[in-house]
Amino acid sequence: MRILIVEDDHKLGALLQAGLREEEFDVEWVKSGEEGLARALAERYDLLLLDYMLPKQNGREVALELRRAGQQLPILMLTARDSAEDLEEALRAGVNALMGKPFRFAELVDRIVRLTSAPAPG
Amino acid sequence: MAFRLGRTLAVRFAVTMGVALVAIVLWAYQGMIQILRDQIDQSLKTTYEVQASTLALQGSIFRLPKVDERRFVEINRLVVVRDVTGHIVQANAEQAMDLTLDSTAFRRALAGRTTTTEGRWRGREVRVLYGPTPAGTGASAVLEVAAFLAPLEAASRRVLFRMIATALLGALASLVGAAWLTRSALEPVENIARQADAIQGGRPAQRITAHADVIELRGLIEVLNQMLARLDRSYEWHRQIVRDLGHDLRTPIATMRATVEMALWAERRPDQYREALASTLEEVDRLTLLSDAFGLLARLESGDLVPALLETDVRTVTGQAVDRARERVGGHEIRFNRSGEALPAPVDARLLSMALDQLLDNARRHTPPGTKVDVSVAAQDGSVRVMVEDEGPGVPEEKMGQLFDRFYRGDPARGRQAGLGLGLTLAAAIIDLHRGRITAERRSPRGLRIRIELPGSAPVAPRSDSHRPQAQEDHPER
Repeated sequence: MRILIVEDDHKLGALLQAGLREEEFDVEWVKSGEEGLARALAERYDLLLLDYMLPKQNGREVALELRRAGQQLPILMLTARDSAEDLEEALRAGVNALMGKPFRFAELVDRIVRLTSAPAPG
Repeated sequence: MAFRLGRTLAVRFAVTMGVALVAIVLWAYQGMIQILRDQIDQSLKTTYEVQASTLALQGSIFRLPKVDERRFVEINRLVVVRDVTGHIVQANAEQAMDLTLDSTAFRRALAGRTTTTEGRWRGREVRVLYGPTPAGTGASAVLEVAAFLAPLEAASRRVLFRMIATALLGALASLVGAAWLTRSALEPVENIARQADAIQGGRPAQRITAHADVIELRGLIEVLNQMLARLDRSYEWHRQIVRDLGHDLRTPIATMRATVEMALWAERRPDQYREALASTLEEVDRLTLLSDAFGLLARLESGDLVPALLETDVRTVTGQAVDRARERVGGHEIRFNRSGEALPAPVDARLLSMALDQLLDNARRHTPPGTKVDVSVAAQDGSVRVMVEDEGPGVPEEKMGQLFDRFYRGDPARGRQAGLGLGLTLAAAIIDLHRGRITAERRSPRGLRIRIELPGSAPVAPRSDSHRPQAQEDHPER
């Protein structure tokens, strides 16, 4: 199962990549929204693990662009923001699920499994 | 003690009006009584003159036809002629034959003077005029003319009653009118208070609109709305702080949690545990830095922190800050020429170092690797000027005003790359504590220039900074 991580925080990105690889996911990690968008449009992934706060193009904008381009892969967004407006905006942009930071790794894995085993949206 | 303004004003106005009306009534009553008495006196005098003429011409006074007691009182004129002993020798009516005598007034009349007095006769108040009879009227000596005061008193009582009734009605009307006036005057205030009461925190752009078109209230409403606008800004500012602080706390906590979880997820090698602990320690340091920055900012802004101002060479302090930055920063070229004469100023070297660290960190964070950061120090008009200039993307013109605000980040989505968002705020607070000045300006064609001016302690000869990096030539001031 292929997962694309878009996370600008080097430490957290590296941790997520290492942890998910240990769970035997096929993981790729990019550090910017632009790179994530290009990679998700060019290649096939089973899930996009997307950070909200990214330089220049943020996670919400990446999700919006993907949905506009007809890309239907499940998007799980990680966010340190939890205001109602932020969450609503993210969901409106086409994000399938949100996880607030800090999160439990086991819960993250569980959420990834559920999202990837659910019938494809649309 | 609280009281209702409308009711109090109405009652006070009505009482004042009532008292004023009663005073007017009493004054008018007194005046009326005086006028009536004057009229009686005038009437008595006229009667006296007519009867004296009649007596002089005919030898006797004019007599009334025989009338009963009631008619006699209505006619109300008693005229008697007395001899020098006071005995009545003539009367205009039989009923007047026992008219009372005032000996004092009688004596004055004998002496040729006319006198008016009051007395009682037949149980009634009377007003009496005594005057001398004309010469050549025989035994006649004094002409006495009297009138009952009862009709006057009855009339004045009726008038007084009506006047008091009018005053009371006036006071009552004042009460009703004042109540109506105060209610209509206070109703807008109550409406404004009702609207203000309905305004709740957290919902921006709520304003008072009631009676905003009333000229007299417009000022009050404007002041209240301006206050609401200030509260809105303050609320939004605090909301933003809580939001940003939440974010800035969560990111290192998330990393710490993930690091520890991953370390415990499976059996690890000792070096992997060490790496996890070191990584966690880094995040703890970041949280500590955030906490310290907040604490320092709070102390700076509250005035709790008193700077230890000592004569210090700003060039040396700046050079040390540049050294520290060079150790931390990779990928940027920081240019600073440390040679040159000392530039002393009364500064707290520890705090100034902190401010310079923040400026250099800020330049590093917001500029692409490989670009240059120029630092220069110079004496300028009795103060010492420090400049940090970078070649980054700069700050949009509309954002320049927010540059020194707490949690301002050029790009809100830069995450930890953007730093704490407190660096320039801290630097500004420190410079402010030194009674210095910190400003920022955009450079042409790109970049940001932060300029600090610190008051010099002693006259410093103005000099151009010959050690200023040449880079300044590449970025002329706009």
